[in-house]
Amino acid sequence: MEYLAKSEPKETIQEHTENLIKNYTLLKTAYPNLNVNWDMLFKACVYHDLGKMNFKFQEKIQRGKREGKEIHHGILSLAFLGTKELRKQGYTDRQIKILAHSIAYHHDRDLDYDFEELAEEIESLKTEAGKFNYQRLDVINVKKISAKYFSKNRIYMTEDTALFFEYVLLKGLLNRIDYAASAHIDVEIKNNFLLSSLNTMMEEWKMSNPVSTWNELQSFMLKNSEKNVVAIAETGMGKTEAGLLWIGDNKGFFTLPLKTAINSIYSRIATKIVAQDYQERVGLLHSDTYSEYIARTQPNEVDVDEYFSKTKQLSLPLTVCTLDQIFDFVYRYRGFESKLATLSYSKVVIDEVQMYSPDLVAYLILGLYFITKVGGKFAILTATLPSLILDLLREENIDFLPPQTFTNDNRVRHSIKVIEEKLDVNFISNLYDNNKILIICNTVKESQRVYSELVDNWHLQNVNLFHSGFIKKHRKEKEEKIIRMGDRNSPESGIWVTTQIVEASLDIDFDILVTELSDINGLFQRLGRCYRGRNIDFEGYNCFVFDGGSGDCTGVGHVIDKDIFRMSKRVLKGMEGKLKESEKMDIVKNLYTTDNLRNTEYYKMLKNNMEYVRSIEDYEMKKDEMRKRFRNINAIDVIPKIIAETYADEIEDYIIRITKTYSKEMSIEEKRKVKKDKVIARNLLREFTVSVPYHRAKDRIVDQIDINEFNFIPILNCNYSKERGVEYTKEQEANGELVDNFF
Amino acid sequence: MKAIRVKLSQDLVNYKKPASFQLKETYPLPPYSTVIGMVHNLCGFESYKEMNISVQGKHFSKVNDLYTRYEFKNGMAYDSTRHQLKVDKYGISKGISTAELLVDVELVLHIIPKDQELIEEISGALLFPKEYPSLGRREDLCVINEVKVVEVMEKELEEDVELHKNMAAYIPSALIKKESVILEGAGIGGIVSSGTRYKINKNYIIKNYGKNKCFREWQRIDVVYSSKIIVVEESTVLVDEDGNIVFAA
Amino acid sequence: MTSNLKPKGLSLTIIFEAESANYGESVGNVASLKKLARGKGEQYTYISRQAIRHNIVEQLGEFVAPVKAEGSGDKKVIQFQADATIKDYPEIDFFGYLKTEKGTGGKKRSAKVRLSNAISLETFKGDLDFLTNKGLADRIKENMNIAQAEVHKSYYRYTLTADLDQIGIDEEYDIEIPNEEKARRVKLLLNTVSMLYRDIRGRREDLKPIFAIGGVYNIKNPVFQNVLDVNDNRLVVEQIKGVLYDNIKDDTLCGLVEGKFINDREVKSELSTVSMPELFKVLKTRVNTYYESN
Repeated sequence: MEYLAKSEPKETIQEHTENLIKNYTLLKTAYPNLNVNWDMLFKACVYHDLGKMNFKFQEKIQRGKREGKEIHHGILSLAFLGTKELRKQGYTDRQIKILAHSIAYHHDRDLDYDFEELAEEIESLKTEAGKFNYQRLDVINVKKISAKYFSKNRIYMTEDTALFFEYVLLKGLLNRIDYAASAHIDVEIKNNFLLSSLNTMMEEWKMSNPVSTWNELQSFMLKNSEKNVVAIAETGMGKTEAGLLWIGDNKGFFTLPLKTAINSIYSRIATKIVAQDYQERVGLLHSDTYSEYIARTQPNEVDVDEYFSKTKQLSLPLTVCTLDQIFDFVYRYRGFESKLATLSYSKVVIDEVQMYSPDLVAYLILGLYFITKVGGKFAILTATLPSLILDLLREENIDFLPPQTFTNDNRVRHSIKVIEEKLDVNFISNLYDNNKILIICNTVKESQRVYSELVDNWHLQNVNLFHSGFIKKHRKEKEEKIIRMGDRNSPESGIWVTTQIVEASLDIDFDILVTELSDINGLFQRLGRCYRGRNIDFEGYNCFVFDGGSGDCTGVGHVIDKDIFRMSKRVLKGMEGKLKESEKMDIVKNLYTTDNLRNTEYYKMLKNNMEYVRSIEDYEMKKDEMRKRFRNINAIDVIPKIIAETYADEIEDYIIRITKTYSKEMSIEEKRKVKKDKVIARNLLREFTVSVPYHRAKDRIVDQIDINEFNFIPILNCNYSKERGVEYTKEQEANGELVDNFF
Repeated sequence: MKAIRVKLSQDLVNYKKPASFQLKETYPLPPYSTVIGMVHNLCGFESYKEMNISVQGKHFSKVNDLYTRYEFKNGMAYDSTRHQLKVDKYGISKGISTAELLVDVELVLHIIPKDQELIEEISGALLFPKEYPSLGRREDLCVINEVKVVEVMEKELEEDVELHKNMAAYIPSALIKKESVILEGAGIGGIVSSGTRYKINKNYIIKNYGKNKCFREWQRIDVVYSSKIIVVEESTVLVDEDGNIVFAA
Repeated sequence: MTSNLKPKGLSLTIIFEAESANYGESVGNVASLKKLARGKGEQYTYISRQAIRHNIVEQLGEFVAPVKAEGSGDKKVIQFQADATIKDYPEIDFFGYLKTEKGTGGKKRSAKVRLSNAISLETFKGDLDFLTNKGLADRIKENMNIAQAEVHKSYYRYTLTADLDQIGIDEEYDIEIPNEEKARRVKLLLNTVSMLYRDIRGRREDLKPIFAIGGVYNIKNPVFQNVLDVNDNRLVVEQIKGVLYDNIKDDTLCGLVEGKFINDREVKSELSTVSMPELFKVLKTRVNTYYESN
C-alpha cells in the first residue's frame, strides 16, 4: 500500500519523513549545542505525519474526494506514539506530554471533534497501520493516547514556564524541519564564513592603508560576542561591521527600522562582505522581499523562489530584517514557536533603537525578554539611547553588560542655531546659493506649503518635494534622486523639502539643514542628514532649528508628543554654536529618562501596549489576526483618482495577470512561472498606491478597483501631482501623516 | 466495599443554591447534602449516618419559571406597609419570583455508607420508598429507574476512561490536582481551564452559640463540575463492578 | 404518631388537550407562554404545577361544604391559618401547610399529594394571537391599543401522586381522621382530576384526561412520568410497554377517550384500555379497598 503525504509532486509518508530526518541531521550538525532534546526531536519527526494514513486523508489526496468530517492528521499521529514504550526508554510524563503536544499542534488547527469521533477514526486507522511499512518503525501499535499527555489542551506559560519553553523549542524546531522538508530546502545553512569574510575585508583595507584596524567599538563587540551588549556609537563608526563581528560565525539577525535602510545594508553585506554565494548566506526580510529579490537578481543567476523560501523560513545564516518580521512572536500567536525556537540559538542585532514608535518599543522589550529566556543573545547598537529603554530592560530582568559609549570627539559635524519662530521661508531663500539644502517639516501639509512658497513666490529652480503622500512609483524615483544629490561627491545642488521620511538611515549628506523641531531624538536623526561624515569646516551654522516661538510647531499634539516636544524645546532654548557627538548623547540620556517621561502620552502608550500584548493568552490569536494588529491600522493603501484614470490600461493588464487561474494541464514549472508573474504584477499594481491616514480617506473614497472577490483597492478623490503628492481639497487641520515616531 | 447505585430521572427540578432569593438559582446536579437528605428521609434516620456520595448526570436545558411567592418571618406581626396578607395577627408577603429549573435531568448516584451494615436498609428504602421520593425541592418528584447494590474498589486503570458524552459530574478537586482526572478542552480558544468550581454542602453539625442560638455548621467539599471528563490511564480511582467511575466524596 | 397503614401510593399520569393555559413574563406587549427546551432543542410549553394545583383546590370545593360568601374581599389562604387543620380542610391535608407562630419554629406539613408540571407533547411553533380593543376604543373615538399573545394548542401530560398511607394523619397536631374520611377525600381528588378545567383569559380550558395510566401500588415510583409521548397524533405505545414491569403491571390501569389518537386501536389492544369513567371507577374502588382493609 502506498500512503501519500504530499500530492504535488507526489511524495509518500515515508519519503516525506526521510526528508525531515535529513534536515534534522543538518540542524544537528550545524548547531549541535542547541538547547533541545535531540532524541525527542527525532521522534517528533518520525511520528508527526503518520496520522496522514487515515482513509479520509488518503481519499482526499489521492482521489480528490472529500469524505465528510476529517480529524486533523496531527491528532491522529498521536495514536502511533506508543507511550508505554517511551516510558520504558526512560521518558518522563512531562517529556511525553511535550512530544505529544508538538505533534498534535504541528499544524495549528481548531479541534472540533469529540471522543466518539476520535475513537472511531482511530479504530479505522488500525486497518491502515497493518498495511504500512517503514523501516524506522519496528512495531506499529495504534491506541488512543492518554489524556495525561494530550486532551485538546494546551501548555501555557503561566502554568508552567519551564514546560512551556521546552515545548516551544521542540515544537518550533519540528515546524522548521517540517517546512524545510516540504519546501525541499535546507533547514539551516551553517554560518562558517562571516569572521573570515570580515578578516579578508580588513586585509584588503590594510593593503590600501597599513594602519587599518578594527576601531574601539568593533573591538569591543568582538571581545564581548558571547554577551548581551548595548553600545552607543555615533554615525560613521562602522556599526554594521561591529554588529557582524559580534554575530561572528553564528546564526544572526540584523534588524533596522526602515526598508530602505535594510535594502542598503543588505546590499553592502551581500556584495562587499560575504561576496560569494550570497544567496546561501544572507537574506533580506521585509514586506517586499520578493520584489526586491526579483529586482536585484539577474534572471537565471539565482532561483528566486528558492532564495525567497529560504529567507522566509529563516534558514539563512544572516538575515537583515525589520523588527516586525521576527518580533511579532511576542503575541504568541498560533505557530509562533518556530520563530522563538530559531531565535534561541541566534544573535540579534538591533540597530537605531531611537527610531521606534512606542508600540514597537513595547514589542522590542517583550521580544528581548523571551529571546534571552530561551538562550538567544542580543546587541543594541544605536546612535543615541534614551535611558528609558535601559530601565525597561532592567524592569524585565534582562541581563546585559553596562552600556558603552563610543564617540570620536575630535570631530565636530554640526553647528546649530535655534531660532524661536515658526519655519520661515524667506530665511531659506536667503540661504540658497547653489548648495544642497534640506528642509524637514513635521507634517506633509507644512512641507507642501513651504514647497509652494519657494516655487511660486521665490521662483527658485531645482526645488523638490518628498514626503509619504506620493504613490510608490514616484516615491522610488524621488528617493533615488535625493540619494543621488545627497551623495557627498555629487556636483548637483538644489533644495529638498521633506518630512521625517528622510530621518532614518537614508544615506544622504546635505550642506545645510533647516528643520522644524519635533523632539530631541528626531532632531538628532535629522542632523545626521547634514555633514554626515565630515567635519564642519567653517565658522557659522549648518543647521537651523525653528522651535515654533511662542507656539508649537506643526504636528505637535497629533503626531508628536506634546510634553516631549516642550521638554525638548526647553533643553534647546538659546543653543547656538558647535555641538559635539558626546554632547548629543548626553542630552538624549538626560532628557529621555523614565522620570521625565512617566506622565507623557508616549510612556502610557508604551506601557499599555506591553500590558496588552502580555494579557493575550498564548495561542489565542491566529497568525493573520496578529498581522492585522501589527500593521498600522490607521493607514490605508489607496490609488488617487487621477492616477487610476491615467494608468487605467496598465492597471487592467495587471489585474488580468494577478487573477490568472492555474489550469490542470499546466506542468509544475508553468505553474511556478504563473505564480511568479502574479507576484510581479501585484507589485507593479502596488506601485500606484499611496498609504494615507484612515481618517483622511474615509470620506473621500469614490470608487474601488476590484482585483477579485476578496481584494480591492479603494480610489481616493484628491488632488495629486508628481510634484506635490496627495492634497486634500477641503481645508482641514494639520495632517497627521507622522506616526508617533519618536524613537 | 459496597455501594448502592441509583439511576433516576426528573423532568423539571431545582437544586437550590444557598442565598439565591429573587431568582432561585439551581446547581447543575444535586449537591451531596440533597442526596444525603433524601436517603435519610426515606430510611427515617434520626441522626447523621456517615456516607460518601458520587453524583453524575446531565440535563438538557434550563428554564426560568415564574411563580407566586409567599414569604414571612416566623411570628412577625402584620404590618400593612409590607405585608399583603394578614393571617390572624401575623403578616405574610405575597409577590412574584422566578426559579431556575433544569429540564430532563438524568442522574447516576452512588451511595457508600461508612457503616456497610446499612447497605441493605438503604437499598430497601429506595426500592420500596415509604413515600414518593423527591430530590431537590419537595415537589420535585423523581422516577427511580434502577437501584443496584454494587461492589466498589480502587483500581489502577489500564486505559483512559471517558465519561459518556454530555455526562457531567462533581469531581472532588483532589482528583484534578493529582491529575488523575483531566477535563478535555482546557485551552480551546484561550481558556486555560474548563469546569466550574463549587464548594458544596455535604453534612452539618449543629453548633450551640449560647442564648438559644444554634446554627448549622456545614462541611463543604471543594469540587469541580464539568462534562468532558477523562480519567487517565495508570491513575488509581474508585470503580464499580460495571466499570463506572465513582467520584465519591 | 406514625401511620400504621402499609405504604401505598396512588399515581396517575394523564394526557389532556388544552390551549395556552399558563403565561410567564411578557416581553413588551407580547404575552409569552411558559416554555422550556428539550429533545433536540425544540421549544415546548408547560403549565406549572402551581397552576394545576390551584385549579384542583378551587374545584375540590365544589364537592365539599357550601360555597364561601361572595365578595368577601379578604381572600383567605388557609395553609397559613393557625386554626386550620387537616381535620376540616382536605386542601392542606393533601398539599401541606406552613404556619407562622410566635415562640416556636412554626408548624409545617409537607405535601402528600404531589403534581408534576404539565409539559406539552407537541412543539411550540411561535404562533401569535393579535388583540385590540377596537370595539371599546371606537365608542369613545379613541385610538385603539394592540397587543399580542403567544398561543399553543397541544397535548399535555402530567403526573399526580398521593401517599395514601400518610393522608389524614398529622403529627404536628396529633390528628388522625377516620379511614372512611380519608377514602372520601382521595375519591374526591380523583373526581376533581377527572373533571378538571382551567379558566384563563376569558376561556375555559378543559383539562379532563383523554388518556390516563396509573393505579394504586405498593411501590411508590411514578414510572409513567416520562414515558407518555405523542408523535404525529399517535400515542407512543412502545415506551409505555417498556416500563410495564411485572411488579406493577397487574396494578396498572389505562383509560382512553376514543377518537383523539389515530392509533386508538393499537392503544386499546396493546394496553387493554378501559373507558375513562371506568378507570376512575376502578381506582376509587381500589382506594376504598385499601382504607377498608386496614
